[in-house]
Amino acid sequence: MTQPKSYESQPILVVDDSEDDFYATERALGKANLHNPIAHASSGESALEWLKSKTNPKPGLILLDLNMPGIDGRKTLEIIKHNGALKSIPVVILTTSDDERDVEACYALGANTYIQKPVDFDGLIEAMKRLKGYWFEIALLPKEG
Amino acid sequence: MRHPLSIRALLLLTVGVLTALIALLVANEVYQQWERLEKIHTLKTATLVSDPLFDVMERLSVERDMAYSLLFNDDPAFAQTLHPRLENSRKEADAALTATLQALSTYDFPGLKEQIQTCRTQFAALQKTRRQIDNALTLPLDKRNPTLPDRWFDEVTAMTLQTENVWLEFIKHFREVDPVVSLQMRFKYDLRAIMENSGRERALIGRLIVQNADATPTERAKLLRWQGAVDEAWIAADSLAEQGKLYPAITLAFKEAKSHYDNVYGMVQDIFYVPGTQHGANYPFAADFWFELSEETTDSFYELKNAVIKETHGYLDALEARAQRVILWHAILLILTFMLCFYSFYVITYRVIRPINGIVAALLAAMQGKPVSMPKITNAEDEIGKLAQVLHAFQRNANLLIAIVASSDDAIISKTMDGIITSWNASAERLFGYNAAEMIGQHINLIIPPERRKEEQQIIAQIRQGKPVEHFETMRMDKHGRYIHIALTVSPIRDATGNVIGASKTARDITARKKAEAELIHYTHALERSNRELDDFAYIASHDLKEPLRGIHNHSRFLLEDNADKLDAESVKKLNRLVYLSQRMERLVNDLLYFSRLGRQELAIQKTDINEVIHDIENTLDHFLVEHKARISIPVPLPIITCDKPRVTELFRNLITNAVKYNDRPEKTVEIGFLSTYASPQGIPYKNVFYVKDDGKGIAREFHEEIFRIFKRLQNSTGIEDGTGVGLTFVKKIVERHGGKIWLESEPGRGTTFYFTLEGSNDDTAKII
Repeated sequence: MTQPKSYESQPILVVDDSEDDFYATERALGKANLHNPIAHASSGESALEWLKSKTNPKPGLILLDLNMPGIDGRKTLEIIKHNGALKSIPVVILTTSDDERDVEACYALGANTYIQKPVDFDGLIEAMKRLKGYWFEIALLPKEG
Repeated sequence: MRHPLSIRALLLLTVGVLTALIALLVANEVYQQWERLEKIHTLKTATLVSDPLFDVMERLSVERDMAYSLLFNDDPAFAQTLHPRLENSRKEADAALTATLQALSTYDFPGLKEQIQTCRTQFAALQKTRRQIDNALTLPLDKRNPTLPDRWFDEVTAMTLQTENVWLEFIKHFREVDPVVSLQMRFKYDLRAIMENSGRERALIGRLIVQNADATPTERAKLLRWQGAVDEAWIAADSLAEQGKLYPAITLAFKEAKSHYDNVYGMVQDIFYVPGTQHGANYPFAADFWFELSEETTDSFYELKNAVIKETHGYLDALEARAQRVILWHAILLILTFMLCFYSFYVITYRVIRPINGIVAALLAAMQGKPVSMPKITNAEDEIGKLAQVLHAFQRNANLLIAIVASSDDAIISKTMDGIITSWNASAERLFGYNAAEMIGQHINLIIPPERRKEEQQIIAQIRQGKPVEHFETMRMDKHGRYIHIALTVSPIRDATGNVIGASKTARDITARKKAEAELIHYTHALERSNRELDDFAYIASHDLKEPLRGIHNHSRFLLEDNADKLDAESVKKLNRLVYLSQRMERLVNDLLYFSRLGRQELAIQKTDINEVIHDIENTLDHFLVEHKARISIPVPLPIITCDKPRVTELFRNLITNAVKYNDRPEKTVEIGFLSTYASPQGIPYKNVFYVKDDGKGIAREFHEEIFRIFKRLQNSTGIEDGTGVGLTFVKKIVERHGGKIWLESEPGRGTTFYFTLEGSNDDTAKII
């Protein structure tokens, strides 16, 4: 066993209404050697609730689906990016849509990355590997507080 | 300025007044000439009547001489010589006097009768004295009354003077007729003085010779006085002959008379006229010789007088002839003037006014919209004829215009600047329901809805500035108050000087078009909605279909990974097949989405170098081309065009990929080219055609259309690298989006050539630069 990395204590919040997709993402993260705790919110409401709860640690990354019933991904993104305590958390949009309107809207709302969900599982693993490389190993984020 | 008279009236009045003026002048001249002719005639008669008075005076003078000399001589031989002359003179004088006085007494001149009466009284007294003379001559010299000769002398002289008075009294009524004749009369009067005074001289000299006596001083004084009178009269006569235009006709007679007088009386000048000379009986010639000599002188005077009378008569004849000529010419002139006047009437009436009236009537008819029929005018060469020719041409144009206006589908209306309608065609009747008779003279407001009258004022304001109003869409009202959508075009009507005097209005009924436009907008909206719905559908479908698809795929993978040891070979194979099919399904869904977007999104037109496009594709497909041992050949550089570059790149990429894929040759060639003109095997001509040619398997004719259908592949899928079969569908869509056309020519076993154009009717699509 290797020494756990410092970032591995930060949870990754996956917001997806599809259990299947969540399962695939969780599995792909594992295959990408990301050993962070993974939290799952199946809607925008529960995601925000989870984020605002004092007992939960601040996540190192949020993977956000766009098309969800109730508060959808766009709204959730907007709320996160307008919240002083949450806005520094990198948000990666992980969605089926490749519509340019969605892409533009999400970046305008403050999304940090936009990834179209690959149908192919190998593609998803690859995407997760790259996310890990970038957000946890390369990118520097502002220090808390 | 308004003319109250017509041109015809003016012209005829002018011609009439001019003719009347000329006629008046000519008639006046003719009248005056006629009067003059009358006067000349009277004058001629008067001279003919009165001239014998000179003969009377002349004869009396001769008689005086003869009697006077005879009374002083009783020599029978002498008497024998002179007496017949005396008798002769007396007879001639009497005859002439009686006849002349008779003729003169027919003239009713005041004073003349008295003079004639006196003359007759004196003549009667003279008859008495003649009888005494005749008695005395029978007596010897000493028995004769010694006072008789002088009394006789005085009486004859008085008689002569009285005759002269009659003449003067008569001719004074004719002096004014002609100045020349008047001068000639005065010449005759002076000649008469010469004759009278020289006659007296001759009588006295004759008596002195007869008596063989010297002249007493008294007699000499008398002779000198008479001679002086003669000399004066010669001078006066010479001047008068000059003024009275008697020379050269009387030059000879005048010289003859003067020289006779000078010679004869010069001969006796020293004897009788010079005082102190005493001759007694020593006269150089006898009395009868003196009379003979003096008679020659008298004859020469007589000749002179006749010459003058002849000249006067000749002059009067000439005057008469001239007056007659003048009258004749004036009469001809008068006739010509009247003929000219009638000709002018004819020309003005038949060649000017009548054709003009015909033209005016035709134009009036044209103004009322009736077909124009110009009168036939035959005098084609004059101004009216040319006018008629021009109007014939106008007639054709006008009839054409009338026909166009009448048959136009648009309502054509003209109106004054005050909005009064002046013309209204058949389409206007159809459109607005009013007929021409109802509308001409009415105000245009009748067809303008009250709330739109302001708009009409704006149109009029623009027309007033000479600017037309074009395709103005508005509403008008028909006879039944129904609103009609119309498109108005209003143009200014100008008069000859360019002032705007009205407006010509073309109204097109656009109700149907407006309805069609509304429908079109409705359908366009519906279509847009439908497209949007389709787009949404495609989007939602792709999203919603993909999610379960991912689930199927992932779970198949997870099954394979997690339960590899529990699965038999057959299950593994089926699960792998499931993975493959889910991947393939995802590509189909993606293609479907892409295809729907191809038709929906706007083209991003930009200047594009096709050589560059092909080069980029070559780079992208490098690995693929090497793998398939394929080569791209561009025989001639390709053009630069305006098009949607990414789409056109995709178009070429698809065609190149296909050309390589469906080719069994070990070495493959794809040729890409451009033809500015191309005719298909069916003979259809095309311009600006691109082609992509391969040397592959070729495509059978029956599939030439089918291959462009979506998801249609001619071969069964054999591997994951094969396409979904949408490539050519995209190609066709991209070509059509650029307004172009795509087709192919192929020979199985030899290869296929895809031809396509990118130019359409739409300006936004591809254009060859």
